[in-house]
Amino acid sequence: MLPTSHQRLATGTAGLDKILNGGLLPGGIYIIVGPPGSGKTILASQFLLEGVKRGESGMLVALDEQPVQIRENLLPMFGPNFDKIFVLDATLEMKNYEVSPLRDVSITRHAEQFGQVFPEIPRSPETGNPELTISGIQEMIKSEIRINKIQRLVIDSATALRYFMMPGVDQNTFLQSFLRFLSDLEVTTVITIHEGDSPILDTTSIEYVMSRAVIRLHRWLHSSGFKLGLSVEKFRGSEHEEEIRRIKISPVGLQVIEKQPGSTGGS
Amino acid sequence: MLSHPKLNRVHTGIVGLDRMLEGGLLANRTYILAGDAGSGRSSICGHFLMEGVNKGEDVLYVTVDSPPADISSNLSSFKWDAGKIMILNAHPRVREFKVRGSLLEVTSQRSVGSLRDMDDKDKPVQPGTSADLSLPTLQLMLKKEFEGKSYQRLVIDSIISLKLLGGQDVQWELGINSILRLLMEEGVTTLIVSDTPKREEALRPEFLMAHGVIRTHRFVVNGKVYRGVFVEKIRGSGHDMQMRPFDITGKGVEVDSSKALMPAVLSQLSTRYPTP
Repeated sequence: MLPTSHQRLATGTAGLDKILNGGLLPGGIYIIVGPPGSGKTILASQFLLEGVKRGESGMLVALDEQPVQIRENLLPMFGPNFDKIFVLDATLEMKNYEVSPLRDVSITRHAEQFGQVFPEIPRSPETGNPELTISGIQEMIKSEIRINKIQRLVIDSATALRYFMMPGVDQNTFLQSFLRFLSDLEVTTVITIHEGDSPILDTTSIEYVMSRAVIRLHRWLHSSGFKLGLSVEKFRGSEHEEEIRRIKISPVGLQVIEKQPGSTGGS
Repeated sequence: MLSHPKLNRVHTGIVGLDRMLEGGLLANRTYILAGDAGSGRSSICGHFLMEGVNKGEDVLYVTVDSPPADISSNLSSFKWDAGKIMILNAHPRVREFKVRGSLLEVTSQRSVGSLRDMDDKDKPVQPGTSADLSLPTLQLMLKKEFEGKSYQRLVIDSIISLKLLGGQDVQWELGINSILRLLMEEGVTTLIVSDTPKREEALRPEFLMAHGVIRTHRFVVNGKVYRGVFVEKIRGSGHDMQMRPFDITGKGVEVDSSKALMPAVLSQLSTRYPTP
């Protein structure tokens, strides 16, 4: 069940709720987009962690990285509460090039809490593994939301969804259908999108159009090293700050740096 | 409940780079080493493998874009005994004269040997034949090689020509994903060499899937060559946020993790990473 619309959801990132005029609005799709190493997964995890602290169930759909490795990466940063987040392994297994198995069976996996994740990378089956499909993933997400009463959902990353595209299906149609599926769920969803050295996602992108808000992470080279920043580019139905604010990633997480009097956020 | 995970660090063999990485690479993971031509990528790979050799590990150099003899002479210029680096020769020259066969037949043509034995014994190139190395072939070669031996360190140098031959569609992404999964399941720490993406390019799938990305630049200012290295992303670890100067000397690669690049050099680079 969604909280009523006047309630805001805390993002779990220090300084971000203020930029968002109090937090996220319940329901809908929020985008975190940025270059490698800018903190997308950390930001998304803090959203789930904040839910755990408030007694709301959260689930991360892992498309980029193995659950066991995500845990290795983030448990030192977030501590035992991280182990209460549910994770659904949506990573692809090794391809079997020797044989061409029939692809008519869709694989089924179940979400588990990070604390229960098997400590090793699962071995890919030697022969004829059934394939993970987009409809399989959708079914799994739906059923796990019901079983575990998920209120906060993260798709990390939406960029990796492309591996599940059927041949001959237009990429926009494919994405639109998946995003529509997400927005029909009664949960608040954060999806991460990867970019290279220059921004690709713009106001005409399907993800941009179908999302409630876009949080963009920035990285630029300054004489004292690479700097990281954050800006909210769009937030449908809410006021928000628009300027780019500096962020920092430390061993305890990602935070928005307080504005210094007289300085601009960008340099 | 699981125990608290402990991540082992793997030294790169370059002191300054290890400092930038806050102690080294995280073990059993795959990293992209992306850089400009002549920026020292293969030399960094050489250090990484020699460090393993010196610790008594089994290490494998998969050469795709240059013949093993070139790699060998490159490394021996540092006066290293590279004889314990095993090399998997995936350079197209060894296969160019053969009849095109199945993937399995192709993998059986692989040649693994010690780098010491790799003088210029390769067969001459047949004109008009094409290279047919692909990600599936590479995966099968690696899988076969892993059956007999377990490696702790691996270098794939590089995926540039593989990408040129077939890097446009979703098959490439699936192929990369699959190879990375194989390397993870094997528990080998891997460097994959790549080139610098064009500025306007979308993020490459291999950059997305790797556990980390290290980037090297080479540029000329007033007729002098400068090299810079920076750590773009390391999942699960903090890292230096500065671009550091590095040199290739007679002893190998040296990274000065206490210095910044000269302002004139930095300003050239800031057009690539501009202030938003």
